[in-house]
Amino acid sequence: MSDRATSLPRFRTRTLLGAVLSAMVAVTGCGGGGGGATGSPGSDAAVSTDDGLVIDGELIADKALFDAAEGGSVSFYSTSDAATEELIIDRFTEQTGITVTLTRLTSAKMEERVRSEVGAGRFGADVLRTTDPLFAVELAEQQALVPWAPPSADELTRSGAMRPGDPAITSMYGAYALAFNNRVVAPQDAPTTWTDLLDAKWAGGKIGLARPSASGAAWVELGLRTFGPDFWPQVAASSPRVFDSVSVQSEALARGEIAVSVFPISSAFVAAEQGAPIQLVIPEDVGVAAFPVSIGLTTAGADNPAAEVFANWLLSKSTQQFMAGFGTIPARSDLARVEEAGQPVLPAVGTPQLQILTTADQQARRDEILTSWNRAFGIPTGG
Amino acid sequence: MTLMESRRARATEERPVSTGRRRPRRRGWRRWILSGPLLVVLAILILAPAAFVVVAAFTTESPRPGASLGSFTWSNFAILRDPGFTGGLLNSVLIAVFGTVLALVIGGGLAFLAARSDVFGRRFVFLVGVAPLVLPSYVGALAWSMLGSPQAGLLNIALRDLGLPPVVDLYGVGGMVFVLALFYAPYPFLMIHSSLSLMNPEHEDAAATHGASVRKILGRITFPLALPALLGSGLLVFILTLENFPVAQVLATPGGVVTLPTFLFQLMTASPARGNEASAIAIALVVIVSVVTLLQRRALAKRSFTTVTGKGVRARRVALGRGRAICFALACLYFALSIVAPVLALLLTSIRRSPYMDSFAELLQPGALRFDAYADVLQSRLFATVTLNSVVVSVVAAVVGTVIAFLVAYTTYRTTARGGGLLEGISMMPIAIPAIVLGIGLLWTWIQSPIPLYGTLGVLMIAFVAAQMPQGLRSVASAIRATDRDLEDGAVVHGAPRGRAVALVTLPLMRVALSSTLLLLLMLSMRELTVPLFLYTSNTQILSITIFDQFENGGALREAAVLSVVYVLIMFVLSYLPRRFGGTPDV
Repeated sequence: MSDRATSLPRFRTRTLLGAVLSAMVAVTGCGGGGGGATGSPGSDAAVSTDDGLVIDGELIADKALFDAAEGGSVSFYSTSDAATEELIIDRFTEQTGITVTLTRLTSAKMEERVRSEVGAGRFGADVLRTTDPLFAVELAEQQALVPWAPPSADELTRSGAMRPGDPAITSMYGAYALAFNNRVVAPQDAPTTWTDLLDAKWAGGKIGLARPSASGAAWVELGLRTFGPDFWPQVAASSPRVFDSVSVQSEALARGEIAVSVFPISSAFVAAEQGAPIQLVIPEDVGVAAFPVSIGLTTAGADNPAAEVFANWLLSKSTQQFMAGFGTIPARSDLARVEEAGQPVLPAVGTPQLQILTTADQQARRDEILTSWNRAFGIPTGG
Repeated sequence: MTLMESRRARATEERPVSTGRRRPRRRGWRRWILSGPLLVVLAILILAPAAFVVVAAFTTESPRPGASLGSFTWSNFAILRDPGFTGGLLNSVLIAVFGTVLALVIGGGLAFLAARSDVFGRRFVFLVGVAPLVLPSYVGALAWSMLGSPQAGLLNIALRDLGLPPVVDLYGVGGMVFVLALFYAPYPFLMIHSSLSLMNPEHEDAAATHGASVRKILGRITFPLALPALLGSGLLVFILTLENFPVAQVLATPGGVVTLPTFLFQLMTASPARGNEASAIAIALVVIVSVVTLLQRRALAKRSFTTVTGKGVRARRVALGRGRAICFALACLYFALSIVAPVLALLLTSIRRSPYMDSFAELLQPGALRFDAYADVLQSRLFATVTLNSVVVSVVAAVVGTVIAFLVAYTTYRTTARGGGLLEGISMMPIAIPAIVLGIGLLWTWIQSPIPLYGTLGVLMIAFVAAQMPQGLRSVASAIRATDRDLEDGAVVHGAPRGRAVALVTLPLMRVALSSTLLLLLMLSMRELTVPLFLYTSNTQILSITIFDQFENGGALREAAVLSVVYVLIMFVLSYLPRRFGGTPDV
């Protein structure tokens, strides 16, 4: 596929953030303190390529695989935040010399495109990352994704991120919490629990909600399961502003158009880094609503050693730790927690504060969950 | 009988609709010589993707490559009875009707001022008329939400700074009508301007000689002659505003208003996407648009709007008297609302350290502003690549689109070739298909096409030509109907081959209209977002998608604003080119 011919570096307006996070990871003792030069996204880790690819003492690719991957390139399709993916890619290229091209689309568009590409036998991706685990399951069933065994397979299996023979591996968890505009809301008035959304002080358009689609089912489900079927209708009764996308919601919260919001944690990290007065709250009552973000190696990727190195690398301890600095929750449970200045500590896998809407849950109930929310908020769903 | 009617009667008498009397009537296949190849081109460009949409509307599964179609069904059309669809359609029709009327008033008014009045700064008024084309509607909507949202809009902040109550609220139907009219007024402007500036002033002069007042001349002659342009552009604006998602996303949904595009978005973002039902809606829209187009054709069919005779007289200009300054001020107001205010809002966003602001006084604090995002964007290699891609794709798509639109319009309105109605009908089809559905149809077509264009800039060019065919055709068609055929036929009678007569007579007569069309298609291609979303690859990324990416990612609003500002500058430069080479001689 022609995508692989060249690598296009994306805007690097967040390179500084990458450098800060790299330094931070090093300081928390998880990065190994290698490198030396600061300011580049891959500089904190100890990278050895003498006998395969080893980062911070963990084997990523054995010598045969890494030698075969040398000078290669990878086509990476992702529905995750583009700016974060670009930093990840830069870090990978710096550590391995392998280039990666990114095609980023929102879930629904990506799914339509990938289904068509797969159907036409022209699937352009080597590695796919999707925030909709059901889509990964569908691709796995069509054998567009193939099983592979990363060196970290044992740990991933232990953490529940991987099942033997299943091509879709959970690379991290995305999560929703609460966020407020700290210029509009005084600290003593800030929400601390999900039920604070029912407070009369937010009535009349002060709450903003992005209409949930695939991954948004996680926070809807958390409300339903914990507080009962009346919870969202009660929130709806306070006339919140509903947005069609997180981006419009994020912009409205940053400007103070809305005061408080259910918000993706990673977006809150990005917004705060951009200077937006958005403060994240980990609700004290039942924690955050999380969903798995899967990666898979495609049939084309299975024949491309560079792609396998990249997929292994995404699941490595060092990369997971690096990703945690962007407000995602590592899929592996063998990592130290990352503390980001000015942000609350995020709950880890296996703790009660991380309420995951699993792939199985989504298969069983996602449509029903979303329909109930749309009904509560008077959103037409077309049947 | 009015002067125009008598002229019309004479014109009809002298010049029958067909050219049959001058040239021996061709029989059988020979009447397909011109229309046949064009039909093939349009079939590939438009019918193939539309066919996928039709199939999707009547089957249980999407007709994507490699998948089974499922079985035949009517059930997708049940969506048309859904309260979400009917409610959304009702709101959208309301918004589109008022938006179209306002856009016609603004665009038509500016066109009249620029083409046919002695308003101050006529050249500037022309620029004012086309300028909003440089702002894609999603950027415009976003900028206006920054300005006019009820709590934290910049206008409300300014009002509070002045001790006044914050009364501006653009969330809802009113805000949508206002913003859509602002950004769609250039369509009627360009088409009505072409029509008015091509108009032979003979009729008006005759009326004036017989003592008709300026008002009467305008009402009985000038505006009726501009009717094809008025109706054509009105139809375009109505359908485009009916389907516009970005403005609805930013202004309608937060105001609690359900619209048709939001409903479609909901269907397409469901998991799995409900493309079959969206296709059923597209079919219903195609039917509605076909009926409206038919009515429009019927309304115009029995009259002659020929006014361009090539006699080299200058269009008559109305003396506005004291109104010169008032009209100029109104044009300036429109410029301020459509360009200055939104661009200032974007500029402020691109350099402000924090997106939150309590008072404009905060901007004076040290460190409140920073410019580093511009350096980041401009120095990036990606920026150069996507800009080059965008310009190449848009220029090629605009040129090819204008050529095809001219050929279709010429064949339909100037020849006895068969299939003229079919050509026009197919050309108008893309406008009725919601962009996101059309985009998927194009993906399904080109991903399995034996011609290996998927993944290249070529497929984007094709997609743009297809998607913008209706705009191109409406623009050229109204001009071709207004251009007298006598001169071209005269050249043929004197021995010139038809092609040479077209090249040396008709095309120069239509220079203004064709350069307007080129400009329109160029701007539309530069800002087209939804259609290429399914077709671009990492190597063929274009500017509009990059901006939307930055915005859609959330939190990258500053970069999105920087790109938008740079983008507006590029569009300004590009918009100069057709005028430089095509010329707007009478402006």
